[in-house]
Amino acid sequence: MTPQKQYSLLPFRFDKRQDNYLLVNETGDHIFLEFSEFQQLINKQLKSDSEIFLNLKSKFFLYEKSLPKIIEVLATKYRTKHKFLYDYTSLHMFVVTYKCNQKCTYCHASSVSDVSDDKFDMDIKTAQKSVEFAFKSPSHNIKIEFQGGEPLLNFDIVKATVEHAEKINEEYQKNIEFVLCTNLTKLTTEHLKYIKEKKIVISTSLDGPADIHNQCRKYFNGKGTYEDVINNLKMAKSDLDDGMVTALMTVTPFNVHRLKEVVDEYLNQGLEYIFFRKLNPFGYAYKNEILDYTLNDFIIGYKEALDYIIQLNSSGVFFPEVFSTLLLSRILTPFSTGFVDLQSPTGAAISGIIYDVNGDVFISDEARMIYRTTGDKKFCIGNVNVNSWKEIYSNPQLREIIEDSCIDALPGCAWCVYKTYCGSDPVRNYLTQGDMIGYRPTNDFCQKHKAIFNLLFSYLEKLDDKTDNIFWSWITNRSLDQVENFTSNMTINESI
Amino acid sequence: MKELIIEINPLIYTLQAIKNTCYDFSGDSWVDIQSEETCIKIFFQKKENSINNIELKQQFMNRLLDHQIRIDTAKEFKTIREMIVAQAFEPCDNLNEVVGYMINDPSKTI
Repeated sequence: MTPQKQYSLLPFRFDKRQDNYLLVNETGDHIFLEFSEFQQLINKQLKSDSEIFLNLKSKFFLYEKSLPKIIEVLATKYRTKHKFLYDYTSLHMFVVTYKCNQKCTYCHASSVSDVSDDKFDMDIKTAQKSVEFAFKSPSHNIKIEFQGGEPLLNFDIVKATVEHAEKINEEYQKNIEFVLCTNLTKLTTEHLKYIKEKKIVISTSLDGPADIHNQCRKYFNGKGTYEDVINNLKMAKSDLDDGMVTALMTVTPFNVHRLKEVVDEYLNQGLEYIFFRKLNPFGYAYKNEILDYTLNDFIIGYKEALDYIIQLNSSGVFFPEVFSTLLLSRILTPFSTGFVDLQSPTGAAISGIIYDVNGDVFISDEARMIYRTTGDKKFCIGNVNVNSWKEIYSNPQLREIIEDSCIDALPGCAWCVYKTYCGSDPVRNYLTQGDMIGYRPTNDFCQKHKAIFNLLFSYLEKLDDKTDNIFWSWITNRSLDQVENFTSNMTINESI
Repeated sequence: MKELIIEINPLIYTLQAIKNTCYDFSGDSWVDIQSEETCIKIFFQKKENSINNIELKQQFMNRLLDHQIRIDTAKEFKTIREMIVAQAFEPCDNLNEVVGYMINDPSKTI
């Protein structure tokens, strides 16, 4: 006999796994159910005094009464998760030059040689106009990120931009940050003095130990750059405060099976975290067979390296993997994480925007890459020297891009169990699949993120206390000791 | 050449569930949906021979069942989801009244 209906369901998505079901609700809470429990849930056969019922109720998968109050709570959680929409455009990338002294195999920027003429440099008028444009964003936080080419090759414009931003900010009083994305090989003590004075964060690229790094990151004459990068990295780290010198790496066929060595290299160089970034198909990397590797290779390498990093953390070394940390924050906390590359709607333009050397405004760096390599200017929404802020942000093209990137309405995404944590990349879809919506069954962006979510949930499903504490140490940016002391104090207090 | 044909009872599975499932499988197979008098027929032509027809049918039917459950459960909470999103971005003061109104008549949309 079927018991009387005692409860109703709240919105969730689910996926059947090998041994159980994973459910995720609209605000990001998750739960694993055995097959029988899932069946009981949807057939309204769960007993209201059972542990599974109480778990599901506490995590807002079902309710018994007081729906208006529950909607109020869930609306608050939903709004919190989508706070990035209210922050609006806070990341402003300035391409100060196309010139570069390196010719990296996978260069996204399609740079030109460092002896090219000045038409490849941003001029001061464009830099100032771009700064004034950036400050019109309603966001209280403005991060100006200098890119290239190699921005050190047009350092005068970097300085002019910083100084103009500081001057404009006397009126706006926003929180401003500066980041310099540099290959470091042209760094001098003069540069460092200015960088230190203006508290500019350095972000460089280091793909691993010398033999790995030099495979792809080379000068125009083919010589590897590792030695110069490391020398200047040491110089910068010795002069600047902790946390002011960071590095990113790109996973290539040359390091995908050696990511543990890359981790060791980062630790040896005193770097504080690592971000395993899969190579994206832009610039020189587009359809380049030398740089090809399978998603399976990436996931195997990623898992091995992540296990290694967890082991290191377990032995007292605080060293997070950035992407896992970001996704774990989305899974385990109610908070919004600002990461423009994985947002719904897309972070392109509404969270981050890029100003080209001539003032053209693109919705993302990848969008600019498409223009540089194919001449397709679809994702250019204006020019700071010609168009006002209102003209650029009310561009109907931008509205179409945003609409086509809301994954609640995209086939495949709309019913995906990871929808609440995920995002879309309409620019990448356009390049690789011919339209901004994309086609999920063969979409490598989707497949990669699904694989990483599957991996992280496999950890969460069988979570031991140590790994749980390590994840929380990453999320909260605290040492493992601090997290473990906190949790053991909680246990003592509960037992009193 | 059509390699596998699956017959679906439209009294058990909705067309939406069938289409969503076909979409999921369309990466590995060419899929054609045809409506007949008493059933809906799905024609599969595999792009690569990586899975046998028995396994393909088993996986398809299991996924179809999951999609049907999604559609059935969504009928129950679709309105609640809309109210959550609406309340998140355009909060109303008379939420009790709105909820009563919407839940009593699920055909209403926000």
